[in-house]
Amino acid sequence: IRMLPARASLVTSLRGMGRRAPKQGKPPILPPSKKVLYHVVHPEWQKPRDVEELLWRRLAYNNAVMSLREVFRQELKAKEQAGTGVEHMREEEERELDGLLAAAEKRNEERRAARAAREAEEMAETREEMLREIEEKLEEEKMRTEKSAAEVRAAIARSANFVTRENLEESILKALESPIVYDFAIDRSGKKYVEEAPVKYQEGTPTRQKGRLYEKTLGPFKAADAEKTTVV
Amino acid sequence: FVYVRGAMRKLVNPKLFGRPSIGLARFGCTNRPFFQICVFPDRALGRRHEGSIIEQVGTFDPLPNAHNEKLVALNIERVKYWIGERNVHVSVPVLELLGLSGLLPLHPKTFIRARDNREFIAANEAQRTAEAAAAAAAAAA
Repeated sequence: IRMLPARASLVTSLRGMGRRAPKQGKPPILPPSKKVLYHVVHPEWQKPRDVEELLWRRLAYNNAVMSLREVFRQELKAKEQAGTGVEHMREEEERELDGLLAAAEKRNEERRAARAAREAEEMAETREEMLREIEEKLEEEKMRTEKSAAEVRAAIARSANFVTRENLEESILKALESPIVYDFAIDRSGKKYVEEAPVKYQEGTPTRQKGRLYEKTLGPFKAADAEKTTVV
Repeated sequence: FVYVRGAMRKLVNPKLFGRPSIGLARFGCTNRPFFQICVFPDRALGRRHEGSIIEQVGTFDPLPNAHNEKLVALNIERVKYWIGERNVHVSVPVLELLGLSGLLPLHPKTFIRARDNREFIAANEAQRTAEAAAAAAAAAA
């Protein structure tokens, strides 16, 4: 069973998709018909004893309310004169707000001054630190440059006895004049066995090598050599 | 001239109107009404809605709370100002609430309502006693 709404009528039940009931009467744009002469008020029914009671009660009530309006007006005027009215409250609040703003401003000023002092100190500190760092960096740089300059100078000095295109001829002649012998052996006791200085210019043809010429240690170990031993 | 939207178009003379009205504005949600007692501008300016509130002067919760009380809040000072100084029109429910609060005398409607309630309770009591008597008689018989 489907429960129909209270305003159900034939019109509503016959409506398809639009289930909303239309507004009562004609659209507001249309004028009322000629038959309608005036607007009729339909008040709801009241019990007769209620009507009588309400009449005298209403008269008394309205009278009382009118007097009370005057009483309230007088009260408000008295308050205004005494200095506790709305305007006075508003002014009081404004003054309070101004006072609070002034206090806040003062506090802000103090904090600002303190902050400025603190920041100045910190600024000076940071400045000192920065200068120190810069100094250190500069010193480091100086040391590095000195070191590298010394290295370069050392290299230049080392290159003094380099063989270049200019001293090629003389260095060759010098080397031939005083040859260095690297061909030597050394035994555990520290005895050096050197080949004799070779001759600059070979005279005659050298003999054919027989045996291991470099093996000088194969000779007998003499007692005299034992004194010269160095323990390695 | 001022055009009034809503019902039939009618011209309102701005020189003559200006009587504000205090009434209940319904807030809350579906099945949970809650009224704010607000001051609205002239009734001729259209029906009351949230955008036209001038000042909120109190609240009224129509649903009783855990202690079976309906709570009402009223800013008495402002109500006195509006009624005394500005001569507002007050709606009947707000008049009833003010009467019950003690600021104004009791509204006539309050008496009628109270009497109706009393009669209703008496009728209920009578019906219940009648039913109890009938049940007792049926049990005895």
